[in-house]
Amino acid sequence: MTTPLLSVRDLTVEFAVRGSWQPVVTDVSFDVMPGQVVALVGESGSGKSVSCFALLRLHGDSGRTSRGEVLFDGRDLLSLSEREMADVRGNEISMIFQEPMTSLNPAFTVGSQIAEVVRRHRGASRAEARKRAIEVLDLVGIPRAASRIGDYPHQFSGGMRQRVMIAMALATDPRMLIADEPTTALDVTIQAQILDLVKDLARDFGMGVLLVTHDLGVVADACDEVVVMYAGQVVERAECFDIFARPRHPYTAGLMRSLPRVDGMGEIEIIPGTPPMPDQFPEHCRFAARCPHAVAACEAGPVALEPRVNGGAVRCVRTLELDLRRTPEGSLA
Amino acid sequence: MSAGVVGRRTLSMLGRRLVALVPLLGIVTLATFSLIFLIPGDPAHRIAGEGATAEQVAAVRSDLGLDQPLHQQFLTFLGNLLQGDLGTSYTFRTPVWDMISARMPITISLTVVAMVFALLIGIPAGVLAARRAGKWQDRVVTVGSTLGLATPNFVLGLLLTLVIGIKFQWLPATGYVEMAEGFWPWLSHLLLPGFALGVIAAAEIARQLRASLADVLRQDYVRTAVAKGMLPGTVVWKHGLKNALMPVITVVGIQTGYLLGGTAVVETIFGIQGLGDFAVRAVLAGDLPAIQGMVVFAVIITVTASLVVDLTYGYLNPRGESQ
Repeated sequence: MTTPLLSVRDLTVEFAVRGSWQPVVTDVSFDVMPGQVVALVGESGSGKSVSCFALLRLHGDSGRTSRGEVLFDGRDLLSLSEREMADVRGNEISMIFQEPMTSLNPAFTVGSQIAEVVRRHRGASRAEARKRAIEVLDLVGIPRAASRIGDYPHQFSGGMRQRVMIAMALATDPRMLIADEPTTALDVTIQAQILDLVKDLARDFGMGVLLVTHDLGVVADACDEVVVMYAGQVVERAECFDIFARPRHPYTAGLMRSLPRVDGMGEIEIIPGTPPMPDQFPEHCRFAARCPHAVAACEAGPVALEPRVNGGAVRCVRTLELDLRRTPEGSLA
Repeated sequence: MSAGVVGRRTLSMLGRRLVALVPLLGIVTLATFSLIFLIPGDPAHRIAGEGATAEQVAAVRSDLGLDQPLHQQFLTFLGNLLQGDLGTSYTFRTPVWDMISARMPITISLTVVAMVFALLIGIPAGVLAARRAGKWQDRVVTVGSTLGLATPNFVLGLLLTLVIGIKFQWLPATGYVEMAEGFWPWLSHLLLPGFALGVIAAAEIARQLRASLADVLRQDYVRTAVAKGMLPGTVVWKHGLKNALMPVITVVGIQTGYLLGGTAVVETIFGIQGLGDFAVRAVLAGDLPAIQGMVVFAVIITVTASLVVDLTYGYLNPRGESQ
């Protein structure tokens, strides 16, 4: 087995809320292998974006990483100096964001914004950087790339802007891409194109991809591994096919049931209630209050992330007793 | 967005401004003209002097065309203006245009030095306050700019002359020396008045920049710049500043007009014989052609400043160009 490209260990991120540090993400651990697409899934507020930002230390002054390691190629990113971190960002690890409409600088041409990152990390000349900008715009499928590098972001559609963002992220041949809900703001057809592009890039260049999403359709379509987060914790982690076929955590199962099915089998169910706010995280299982399978044992104390049947990990005291498959056994054809 | 398109836009803007200048000058000069005649007293009396006889006053009056009906006087003035003739100053007995063109380099030097001070102080202060928003550096800049805005430039000017010019004698206290006599002699005479004149503009620039840059630094594209490994200096001074400068440019445009007005006070204090000094004398003497000349000059400067501001907008905000 190859060594992980990115290994996140017990990452805990706190934010300043009314003068005190409140943990928003607790003990998050997962690995990303070269060439692998790992999905980070969860509802809004589950801490998936916060975790991502913390990997590149982009959470700003109001947040801090209080515990854990982010090992990239064996090097702990959390112990680097600001300057060393800036050398990693956009160079070895690139990031793309949820909002293509606002993530590009409106005052500079897309060509100069891409060339800039090449010059910064590769020490390329203006001409080389420009050439590289055309190359990557072409790679992400922007028609007539050479004539469009002089255009400003407002002259591109949302999907095209996200392609520009991806081009910018890829311009330095990073070994890892973090994509924070890259397709949420886009049309469904554009969404599929962007995902295909990301998948191809992971496969062709051996790039590790961490894909943050709340859309299970995207997960099923594009990912190798799935990390499910709930209320700032990892609740289940497994290989993609296996987690869809047989979720081992009631929350994962709930997410699956809220996904409509083309064959019309099974009802669409929603998970009742809302996730707790960070200042209301209970000591015991954080999902217990909304869990249809909760028993007294669930509220007895903290639940650890344990090895899972068929590989991965799960955080549930009843995981071995429950059958959480969407269609009950017996009715399967 | 080819250079040709930008060029055409610029040209058409220039053309429109020039056309608009004509009615604007008409209105402003008419307003000045009317105001002058609201000043009590007979200009002919003032010009002829205290002990002048009735005949002398009448001679002055017909000499200067002051015996003609008002509308006639105004039309004559306008006609002359269109031919580039601003008339002859009553008090200085010299063509107004000669007076203005002789004094213009002095006042422009002073205004430029003041604006350079304003930018050199205002921009770094605004950037510092925005980067350290809510921290002590921000508070220092806020207090400093409030002080700057609250201090009248004649108070600051007098203070600077007295302390730096007269007590310590680090810089010349008064007067003006042409650049032909050397760069440093020229500049050293302008440092104190330029600072006194520029402080308000500096404070205004710092406040505007702090507000707009603090907002820009929270934008997604700034986060993108950080995420792609740009160093903090590049993030702020390149990605942040270009987007934050729009309101600052507006302030610079407006302040250019104020600076010009401020020269009246500052030139008087520092004994500089520029246009501000000329304007003060012209108004005190009720010297209509001189006042009108200054007004026309001020209108042209103001319109030019706002034109430069608009052209700068186009550079800073490419979205405006394609519409």
